[in-house]
Amino acid sequence: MSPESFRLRIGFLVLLTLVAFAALVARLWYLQVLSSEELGEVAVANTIRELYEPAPRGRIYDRNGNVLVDNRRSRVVTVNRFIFENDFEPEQQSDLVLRLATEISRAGRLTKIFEINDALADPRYGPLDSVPIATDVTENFEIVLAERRDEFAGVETAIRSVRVYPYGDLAAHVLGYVSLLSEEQYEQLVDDPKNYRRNDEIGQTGIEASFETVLRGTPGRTRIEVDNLGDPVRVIEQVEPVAGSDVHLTLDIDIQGLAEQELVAALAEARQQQPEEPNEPSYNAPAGSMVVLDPNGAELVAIASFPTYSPGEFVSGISEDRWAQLQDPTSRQPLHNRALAGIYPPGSTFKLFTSYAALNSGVIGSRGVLDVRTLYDDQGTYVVPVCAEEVVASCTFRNAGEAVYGPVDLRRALTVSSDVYYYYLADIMDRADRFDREGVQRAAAVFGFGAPTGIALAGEGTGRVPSPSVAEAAGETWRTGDSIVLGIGQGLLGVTPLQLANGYATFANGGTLYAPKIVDRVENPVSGEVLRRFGDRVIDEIYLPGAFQQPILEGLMGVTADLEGTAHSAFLGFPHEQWPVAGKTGTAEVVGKADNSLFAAFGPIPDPEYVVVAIMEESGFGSRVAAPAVRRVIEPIATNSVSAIRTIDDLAQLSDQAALGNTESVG
Amino acid sequence: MSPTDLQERFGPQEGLRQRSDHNIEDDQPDWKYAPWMHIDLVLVAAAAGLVAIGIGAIYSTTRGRDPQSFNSYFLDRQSLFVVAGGLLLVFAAWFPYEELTKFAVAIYGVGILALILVLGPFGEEVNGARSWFRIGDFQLQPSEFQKLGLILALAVFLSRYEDKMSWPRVLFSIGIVAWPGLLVILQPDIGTGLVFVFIGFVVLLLGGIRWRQMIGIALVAVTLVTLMINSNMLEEYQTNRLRTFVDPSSGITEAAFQQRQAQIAIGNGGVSGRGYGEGSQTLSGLVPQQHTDFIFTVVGEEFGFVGSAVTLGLYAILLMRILQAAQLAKDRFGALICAGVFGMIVFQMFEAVGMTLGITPITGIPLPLVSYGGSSAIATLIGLGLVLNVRMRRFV
Repeated sequence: MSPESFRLRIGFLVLLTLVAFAALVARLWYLQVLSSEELGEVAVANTIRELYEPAPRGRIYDRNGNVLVDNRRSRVVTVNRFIFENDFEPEQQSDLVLRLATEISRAGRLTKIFEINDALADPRYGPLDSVPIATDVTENFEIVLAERRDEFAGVETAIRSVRVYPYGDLAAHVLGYVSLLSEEQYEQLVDDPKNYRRNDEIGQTGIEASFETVLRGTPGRTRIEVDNLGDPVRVIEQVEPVAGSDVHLTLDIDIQGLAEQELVAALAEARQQQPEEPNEPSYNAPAGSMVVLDPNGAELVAIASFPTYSPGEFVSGISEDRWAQLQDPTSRQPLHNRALAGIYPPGSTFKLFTSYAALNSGVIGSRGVLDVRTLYDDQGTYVVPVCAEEVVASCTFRNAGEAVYGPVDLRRALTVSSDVYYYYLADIMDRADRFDREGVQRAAAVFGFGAPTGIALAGEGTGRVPSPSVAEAAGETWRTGDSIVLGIGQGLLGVTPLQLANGYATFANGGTLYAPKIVDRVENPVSGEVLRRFGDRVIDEIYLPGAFQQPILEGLMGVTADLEGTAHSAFLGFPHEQWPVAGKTGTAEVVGKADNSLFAAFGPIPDPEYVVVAIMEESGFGSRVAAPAVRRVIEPIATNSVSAIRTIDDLAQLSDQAALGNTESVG
Repeated sequence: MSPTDLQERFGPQEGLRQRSDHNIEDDQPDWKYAPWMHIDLVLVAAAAGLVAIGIGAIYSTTRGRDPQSFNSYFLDRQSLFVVAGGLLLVFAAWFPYEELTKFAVAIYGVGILALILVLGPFGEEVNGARSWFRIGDFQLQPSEFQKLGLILALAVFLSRYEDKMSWPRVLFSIGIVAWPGLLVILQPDIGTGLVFVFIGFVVLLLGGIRWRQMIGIALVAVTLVTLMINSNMLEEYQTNRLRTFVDPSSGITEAAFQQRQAQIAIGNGGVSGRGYGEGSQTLSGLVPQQHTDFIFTVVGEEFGFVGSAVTLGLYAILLMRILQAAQLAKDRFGALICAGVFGMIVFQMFEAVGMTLGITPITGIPLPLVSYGGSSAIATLIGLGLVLNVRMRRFV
């Protein structure tokens, strides 16, 4: 070998070495400079375990300190999806499910195979998550699991704090329910200080949702360094969980229970009615709502909405079938809070506000077309004097039921519910140039219609108050007939039960429009310290002089007390002396369906403490269905004899005692 | 170095040459050519640096978590090995290497005998390979020493002839490589087998193999290896390693885990490292075999890109000095010893670092001078002693 060749070969080895070093350095650069951040995160995840200790959610109380929503501890069995799907063959999987169903059932919690399969298929859990397959499992199963660890790979038990509802389904719509975070909710809450995790629960509706930030505790977090076997080496950081705060509502659970019970009863009674003519729509009475509030500050005492649902169904995760069923239109949307979100024509209950509009705009008064005491002859029909193209279909408007009331003044028009009187007022306001054409709309706005009331619950309806300006802005024509039907609360006018109640409350308290209050205060769950108290929220002070208030009030009191009042029969035998009550019936027409039945009442006069409003769909006359229902709620309040609602535990205890008593008597 | 020097060095005469053979200026005093004047201090410094990095890294990964009672078992033993290796290095450098031509065959033969014995009842199996003799508290890995035996045997054989390389001589050389190679593959220890092959390649290259011979051997080798992989000759864990090397995501095997954790550790080091004793992967013992074959992950995690580059730099210096020694060697025998030591270190370094970076397959090969292990450390240090020997005796 020549020296040149030797040198060449040395050179070849140098080149080979340089290539090897270049490859190593390039790869080092890639790992340590370009990928360092990402790999560093993996390294942290490798050695740091974060243990997460959920904090109990705050409780929800009524105004008398009764717990409406509480927590209890439930033992949950979870199956790790990754282990289940990767370490088991399909037949082993079904074998494991069978064994789980058998053992969990044997331990005292009956569980079906398909329930476990459904839970395991739940799309809300990711491929690496532990999926809960059974809740409220007994301790016995834990023993089985401990003894036969190897047979149940990936199966674990955990204690979870779950919601419990001592009063069952009562006030379900107000309280709302909690369920697993949806994917979108999780994305939004990733950086939330309350440290949400993918499988956490969140308030979805009602108070649970609107006071989520208050009710939710801050979970505890322990960061532990672990070794290669996953055994803890040291605690790096420990944050104790902080319980969520308690929320005290203005609701009175006893009155809530009474309202719900009477609402259901009245709807059931309404369904018994037969249509007078065979071709008339039948009384389906599918839904309704009732609102009870204290007009002084508009504190909500009860909110009932039917049909309702059971928040307890969501506790252990609602099945997809059941969820679909709750959403299905044929089940009449039980999750929908009709008291807040239902939009209804108020019918004659609106006449209070038409009356106010007439007084306020001067149609009734010394310089108006009528004075307060002026008698107007109600012959059962109102014929529009200048009837032209502008009034479609008819120039003649009739009283409901073709009634003829004869001479009526403002007071009597309310008491007997003369439509003709209000047709006249509305027609004058619409056409006479010297009066405000939108007086009724303005009055409606002043009393809070056409805008959300501002209650601290989500999903509130806005309602709608039709007006010439709105119609013209939308390119539609406004006809005098539209004004005329608006005068008696019909047509396109839509109000929520809560708006109606709040409008009546504003009148009842002498003219202060409040945003209705549902939460009184937030308290520290341990010390009881009041963290936040919600005062009255005044939206507006209304011009409501005695000259306006007195005749209307008299008319409304006549509704329940006078012989010719529309709710006289409903309030027969009511203690009017001790607890004078004012009210107004409403029978609102709905195209193609039976009339909606409405009643609004407040008392005791002169310093009302309660406003009660009931709206029942397809239930017929207000005087016949809604008014008696409201009376049955008001009377126990008036006579101070509202019976205490028992919790489910109390009821169970009572029935146990009864059973014992029976045995004794048999013995 | 002038062409004349080279010609001189590979002249027709064999064996020892007198100082007077060299073209040395007469006015140079004798002591200027004394061997001890030509000890390669750069190589010694680079080797010492690597040994120090190794001891530091071994201590970091084996001392445990408790600062009150750090475990110094591995530190103490490695220090002992290094001291023993250092003494043997001095011996290997002091002993006139030319004398080794007499013992080379015997050393190689003892090595072969040891490799046969280790497969029998005297051998001890660790991690699935029967590679060790147990002597009291220590384990001796004959294959590590046989690397030197192979280098000496090849160097003696190939330095005997000066004419063009003939095929029979090439085949005989391959035979010299194949015996220990096959014996370590039986352990089974494919990695060390590959080291033998690479040593053979480098020594043959500088020993005068012709390029076409080299290409012919390469073609035959590739064919054989392909056949071997497709047969059932490899142990399951070895095929697994090869498979996860080709596709690391192919299943959750231990090898894939090891490679993944190694890369996480190195990536976690970033540019400047987590700091000594602060690497979380190291501290948690997440990289299997970290104090031995995967020792580079400690360097990568705790000293970062900077520390890794410094370590590789030390290897580069070391390797270049070895090649230089081969070039400077006064005879073919010395040059081929250096070539063999170069091949041994460069291949092991590339493989042991490369597998922690995920660019070479996982095989059980220690990182020379850095990994924990007495046999490897001592054998490497002796090898370096021989290189020093060759270089410092270039004038005598």
